[in-house]
This record gives sequence, C-alpha cells and structure tokens, in this order.
Amino acid sequence: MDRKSFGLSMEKGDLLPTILILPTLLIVLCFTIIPMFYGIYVSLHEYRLGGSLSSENLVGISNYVNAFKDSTTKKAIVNTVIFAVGCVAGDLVFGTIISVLLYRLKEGVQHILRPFMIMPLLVAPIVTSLMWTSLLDVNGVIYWALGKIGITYAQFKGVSGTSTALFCCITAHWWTNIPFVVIVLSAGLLCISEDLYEAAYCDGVGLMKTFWYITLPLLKSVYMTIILISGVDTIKSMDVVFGLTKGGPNNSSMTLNLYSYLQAFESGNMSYAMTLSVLTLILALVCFGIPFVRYNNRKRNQS
Amino acid sequence: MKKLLVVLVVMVLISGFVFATGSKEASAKSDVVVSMWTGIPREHLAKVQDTFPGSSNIIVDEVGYGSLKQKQLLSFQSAKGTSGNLDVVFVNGPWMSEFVNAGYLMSLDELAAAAGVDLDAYDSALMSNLTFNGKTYGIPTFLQCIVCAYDSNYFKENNIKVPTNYDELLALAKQLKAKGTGIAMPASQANGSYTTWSQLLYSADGYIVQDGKLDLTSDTVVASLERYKALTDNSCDGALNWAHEGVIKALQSKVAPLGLSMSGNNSYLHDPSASLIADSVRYFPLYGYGDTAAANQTYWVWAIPANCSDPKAAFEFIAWVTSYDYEKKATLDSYSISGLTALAEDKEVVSKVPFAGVVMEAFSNGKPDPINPNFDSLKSKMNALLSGVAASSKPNFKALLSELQSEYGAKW
Amino acid sequence: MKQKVKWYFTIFERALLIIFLFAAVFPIWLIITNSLKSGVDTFKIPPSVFFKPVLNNYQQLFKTTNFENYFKNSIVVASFTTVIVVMCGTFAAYGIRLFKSKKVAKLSNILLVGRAVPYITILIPLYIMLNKIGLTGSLLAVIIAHSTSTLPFNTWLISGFMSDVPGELFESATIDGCTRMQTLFRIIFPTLKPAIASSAILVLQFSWNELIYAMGFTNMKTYTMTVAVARYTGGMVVNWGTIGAIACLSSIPIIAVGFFAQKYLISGMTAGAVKG
Repeated sequence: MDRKSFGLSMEKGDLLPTILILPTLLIVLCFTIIPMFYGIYVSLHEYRLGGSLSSENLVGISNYVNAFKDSTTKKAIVNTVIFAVGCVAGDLVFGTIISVLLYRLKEGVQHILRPFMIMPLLVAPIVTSLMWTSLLDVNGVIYWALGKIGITYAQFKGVSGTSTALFCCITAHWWTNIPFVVIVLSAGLLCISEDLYEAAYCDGVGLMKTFWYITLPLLKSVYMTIILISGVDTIKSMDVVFGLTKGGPNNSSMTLNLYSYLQAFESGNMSYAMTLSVLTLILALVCFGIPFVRYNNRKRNQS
Repeated sequence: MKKLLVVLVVMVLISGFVFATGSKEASAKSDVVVSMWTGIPREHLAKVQDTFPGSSNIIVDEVGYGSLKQKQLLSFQSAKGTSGNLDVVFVNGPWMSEFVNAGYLMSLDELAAAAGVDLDAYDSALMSNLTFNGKTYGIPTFLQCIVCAYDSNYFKENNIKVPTNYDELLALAKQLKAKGTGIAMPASQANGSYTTWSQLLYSADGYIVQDGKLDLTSDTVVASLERYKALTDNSCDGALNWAHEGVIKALQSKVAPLGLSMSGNNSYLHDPSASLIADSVRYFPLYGYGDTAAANQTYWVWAIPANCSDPKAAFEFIAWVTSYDYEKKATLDSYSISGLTALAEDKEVVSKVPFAGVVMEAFSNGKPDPINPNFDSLKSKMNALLSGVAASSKPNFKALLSELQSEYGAKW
Repeated sequence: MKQKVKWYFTIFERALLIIFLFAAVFPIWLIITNSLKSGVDTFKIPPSVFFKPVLNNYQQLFKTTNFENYFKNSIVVASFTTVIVVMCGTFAAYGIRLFKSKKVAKLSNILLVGRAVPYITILIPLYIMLNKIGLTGSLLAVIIAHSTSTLPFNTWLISGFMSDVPGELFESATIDGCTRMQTLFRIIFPTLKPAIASSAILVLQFSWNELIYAMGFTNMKTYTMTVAVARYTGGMVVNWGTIGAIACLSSIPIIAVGFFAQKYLISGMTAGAVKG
C-alpha cells in the first residue's frame, strides 16, 4: 500500500507523468534557466546597455577578477553576509520570544492577536522602506522617543552613521520578516504534544528548563527550514536597503544585490551588474541553498 | 468532465493572453508617447494632453527618476513601431552623449528647419553641449542648479545678514550648528552630494578634466573637497542620509532655516499645503569660492528617439512645449526655468520667480559635467567618496582622490 | 507549557507582548493617519493621535492619477499568476508523485534553488526575450515573470503536501476504475484544497507586492499598484500626504485578504517547515 504499488499501474513508455510536469518545466526552463545562462554569458563580455554583444567584447572572466579587486564589492559581500546573519538571528530570537508569548495565552486571545502580528508581512517592501524612512528621520518618532530616554543623535546616528546604517536596515527587515517566523513557529509549537509538558510539570521542571530542554530540540527542523528560506530571501532582498540608505553612507550598507542593481541602472555597466548578480546567486547557494537541499534529502531518506 | 475542465482552463488562459496584450484600440488620432519624469512640478505638464493644439494624441508616460533612464534605454532597443514605444523623450543632459554615441537619437536640424523653429533662441552654451558632429540632437529646458534657500522670517528675528561670499556662508552655517540646527544639505550617497561639491569646484574655476585627461589630485580639487567637508561638518543632524527631498522637507518643516536646495524643487517650498515657509522663503546664490557662484549645469533635453515612427508629429510636440509662450506660462506657474535666453530677461518672470536670477547668474559661471563613457561610473564612486568624507572625522583627501585617480585615470 | 508562574512574571510577559504588538502595528497606523492629514500636519512630532481626518490626499490622488487602472492591473496580474502557478504546480506535483523513481523526488528539492536567483540576473535577458516577441509593456509579461519566480517554490510546497496523501486513496480510486487524471480531479483536488489555498495566498501576496519585474515590464497603460507607489518616490517628489495615501491604498487590499485567509496563509507557510 505504498507508493511503489501505486506505480504498478504505470507501464513503460507511459507519458502522463511527463506531460504533467511539462508546463512547469517549460516555464522554468524558458523564463528562468535560459535567461540565467544568458546573464552568465553577458557577464563574460564587456557590455553596457546599448552597446553590442559580440565576440570583440568577450573578456572572459576579467569581470570577475575586477569584481574581486573592487573594494566596493568586497565591502558589499561582507555587508551582505552581516545583513543576512543579523536578520536571521534576530528573526529567530524575537520570533521565538513572540511565539512563546502568544502560545501561553488563551486560544481565543491568540486568534485575535495573531492577525496583527502578521500584518507587517503583507505590506509591500517599498511601502515598508517608506515607513521606516519617515520613522528613522532625525525629526521623526523614533528619535523623539529615544530623546525621552536620553539618547541623542550624536550618540546614535541612525541611517546617517557609517556604523549604524546597516543596523537600521536590519531592524526594518526584522519588522517585515518576524511575522513569518512567528507564524511558522506557532504552528510548530502547536505540534508539540501537551503530554510532554504535563510530564515536565509533574516532575516539577520550571518554565525556562521546559523550554530549553523540551521545546527547542523538537523545533529544530522548523528552525532549519526558517534559517534556510529566510537566509536566501535576505541575501536577495534589496527594496528595504534601497529605500532607506541606498547603500550609504560611504558604502556601509551596500549589499551585493543592491550594488548590482545600481551598476545596471545608474552606471549602465550591464556586464558588471550581471557578474555581481551571479556572485550573489553563488553566495546564496553556498550559504543557504545547498545545505537546505542536502538537509531535505536527508529527511526524505529518513521518512 | 476532465475534458471540460481542460477546455475551460485553456479558454481562461487564452482570454488572459488577449486581454493582457491587445488593447490596441484604433484611435482616431495617432499617439505620440512622451517619456517624462515625475519630478517636474505637476502643473508643468499636467494638462498637456488636453491643451496641445496639434493633431496628435499626447500620452504622457511618467516614471520616477530612478527608473527613467532604464525605461528609455529599454524603449530605444525595441523594434520600430512597437506599441508603447516612446516618441519623445525627456533626457537628462549628461545622458545625451551616451545616447547619441549609441545611435539612439535622431538629429533635429531638418525637422527644426521644416517647422520653422529657430534653434539659436536657446542658450548657446547648452546648445553646443547638444551638438554632436555638427548636428543638434535636442532642445534644452528645465535648467536647475543648487541654490541657497532660507527662511527670511528666521533671519529677521535673529538679525542674520544674508551671506555674500563663501566665508560668510560657512560662518553662518557654524552659527546655526551651534544653535542646534545647521545647514540642510543633500549629503547622502547620491547625486546630490556630487552636484553640491562640483558647484564648489566650479566656483573656483576648477574642473576634474584638464587637457582631456582626468586630474583629480590637483590643488583646486583638493581645496574644493576641504570646503565641502567644512560645510558638511556644519550640516543638520541626519543630513548624511538626505537626498534632495530630505533637504526640502527640512526647509518645509522649519527644521533648518537655511538649505541647499535643487532649484527644480523650489516650487514645493512655496506650496502652502506642504510647506511652513511658503510666504517667507527667499534665495541667494551658493557661493562656492569667494563671491563666485557657479552652477553644475543641470538641464533636461527634449529629444526624439531614432526608432520613432512619426518624427514630424513628435517634433511638433517638442516645438510647442519649448515655445516662448508655453515656457513663459510654465515658468510663471511652476517656477521652472527654461532654456530660452530671452525669457530670463522677461520682467514678469524676473519678478514672479525669485530664484530665476540666481540660477541664471550661476549658470553663466557654470560648467556641465564632463562627457565620457566612464563618467557615470566615476560619479557613483565620487558619491561614495563624498559620503565617506562627510562621515569620517579626519579624512585624507589626497589619498582618497589618488585612489580614484589611479582607477579611472588610465581608461578615461 | 502552561506551567503556573509567579504573577509578576505574567505581567512582564504580557507587557513584552504588548510592546511587540505595538511595534508591529504602529508604523502601519502611522502611515494610515498621515495619509488622512494635510501635508503640513505630518510634521508634528509626536504625531497627534486625535485629529480631524481630511480627505485631500485621496481626492488629489484620484484626480491626478489613473488610480482605478492601476488597481485593476494589480488584480489581473495577481489573479492570473495565482491561477497559472497553482494549476501548473499541482499538475507537476502529481506528475512527480506518479514517477516511480525516488530520484525524481530528490530532484524536486532542486526546485527550491529557484528561489535563490536574484532579480537582476533574469530581468534584462527576460526583457530582451520578451521584447523580441513584442510582449513588453503588456500585463502578460509581468504575469510570466511572476509565475516563473514563484513556480519552483510552490511546486515544491504542493508536492510536499501531495506526498502526505496516503497511498490508499490512490489505490481505492484505481480499483474503482478511475483513470489517473480522473483521480486527480475527483480525489486529489478536494483533499488538497487547504494546500492549494495556502499556495494560492502565498503567490497572491508575492505578486501583489512585487516591484522590480512590474516596473521593468510595464508601461503607463499597465502599471500596477506597487509601481505607482515607486513612481512617487523617484527622488524629487515631496508631498508626504499623497505618498501616504498611495501606500495605504496599495497595502490595504492585501492586508484585508490576509486577514480573512489567515488560516491558509499560516498553513502554507508552515508546510515544509513542520510537516516537511
């Protein structure tokens, strides 16, 4: 009664499964894979939008070599990694805290409050960056509140300080992404059977210990998936940084994806932009994509 | 049942295809698609569709600055006659050489002669920028540069005298900074900082290109960087993340009584529903060195793409929108400054648009940006450098400039 | 985890939760109220909580821009993308399930990699391709771009749900004499309704909020809501009230949909993570 016996109804040369997969395969092939290879092809030339793409501009990997010599690229790579790690770490920590807090409420109250926690997720990234630009304005609400507790502009330079600009972008991204983590973790928490908690309570185990030794280990697979999906998204994300700081001041919040966008549309260096985006893709795959695929395959093998 | 579903789905997809692509209704008039930029004050071209006296149907396609060049470049590359192709483009001055060298634009001389338009009526310095290989490729309009805007009420209450040279301007900025505000400047890592700095450089008669070669390490350039740093040190809190609209907001909300505003935005300072200083705003030139105020000649150009299907209709539009009457009305309504030399001397204009004189004076001393395919790339690196200079406490100007020089000097 | 704790700890818990909720909702409240104030009033800090709402910004918006058109365009793009992705995704997931080999199932994990591809890599080549066919500027181009971005992940999602459907269901259907396509429509679709609804909501949210592809592939007749918001932040416009109005109008529909369908949104996002 498992998959194999169902497969008995399939004869050799059966075309149906292939036909079913075909539309998806065609769309992805035509509109993602082929453009991606064309993009890589362009990155091997010296191409400006409006120029010609011929064998004369073939420069091989010199674009990639230049990219690594470019100090902005190096800074961008570091910033992208810091951004991704900071975002994901904060997402997990705050997300866990909020989910646990919600979980400890009564069912009915949970249902009323959860939609409000989800709202930031549904707002378009560009609107988010607008919101946060006006919030983080020196004459805006956040500085007013900071002023009340004694922190002035000189101490916290916000989006105009080289050491704090990236942090502000990370904060804005937390606002957008934590709801996602809360949703996933809430469902995960609901999957943990109450009996385990009962047993712990009967054994006199305190709240913190229960959380640390029972809840967290059981949520491990959930955390893995969140890390991997969120991680890829953060490396790709650009709207928030673009709206808040546009990479400044002094490239302190320049991420790789944003740099490639600016190179493409403000400096017109198409081939260099493609180079950078290929590097972004590689970074995302290496950090998050490949581990995720391997992890998922391992899980499928186990089940 | 299954067949019915498949048929249904296919029908839906086909109807979607048709719906999405084919709104090619036959229109009585032929369309002239004009690519515009949303930054132009609204009144300037809001009613152009209705008021155009010619025979074509004008469709204005407006986008924000960040996507304007992209939209235009992508339209230039599509085949002639594709629906939605731009017929008239509003091009930022510096992009002109790139577009012309790539063959994207068509020359206007024959069209002007046929329509009886005199190209000499426009500012000759700008027209020479728009002439390539003896042919003219565009008509200039919407001149702007950075000017100093201030709240005259504040100045009166605090007994402040309007500065007449750079040293007095710097002293005023220091005075304001000591009071807790400062001078509002577009010091973020964006084009605003480059424009401001280049005006300081041009006021000292400096230029980044000498004898055709890039020279970023000359004394004039280093000195201009020092003057820029002096101003940013006395800028408002948060100015390091302000682009032009940040400066406008600071002036509108009275956070800063003095600001370096791009003159094209000045109409927003006069709008009583958005600005608290609508009645009291006044202007003086940005003295970059001594008592000279030079502009980085920023202007926009009306041009016709090479793949335009109806150049005559397109030029008819351009001729109308750059005519004396139209430009005068636009200037009086929305404070924009045209490329017609005669208009700057018109009495009505001089009295209504308070900064027109300031801008024209700065333009007469000013220079345009250098024309070179590497310039855009250099400019964005320069933006980063300027933002770095503003953000660090004791920047080494010479070292930073030498680095940039070594990167771009050879390939200039 | 319903252990009893000291009363002050409970207060601390509740207070923390209130702070987080406030942080989540405050920016949205701010932009909604700013859109109802006239431009000059938005400068007041702290923002006044009680004020007389003014509809100028919205009136201005409807008078000077082609708002109904943008709204219609967004709805068209989002709904067509959802239909295409859900249909293709379900068929593909079923096809993957029908394949005998486990290798195909493993390969389906590679689909996730599709999510890692950055926008720029595909934007220009895709533009050139679509330009040759003459589709640029049409809504179909945006629909194609959105579909191709979300198809891999959603196929993976639905196939995850599909693998949870017990084999007996297929067996009994075959015994009853259904062809495999009939099984799909009569048995699988109804069973997977929650999964399909979740996937649909995720695609809807992505497509409604997406900016870069929408901006690159549309012209003035076919702008979507997010492009309309982006146009107003082009670097020179400084009417904060209008920006607030546009931002509100583009966010409120999707927030409303999210509210009503939160059950599916939640189960869609948790699939794979929890069940996986």
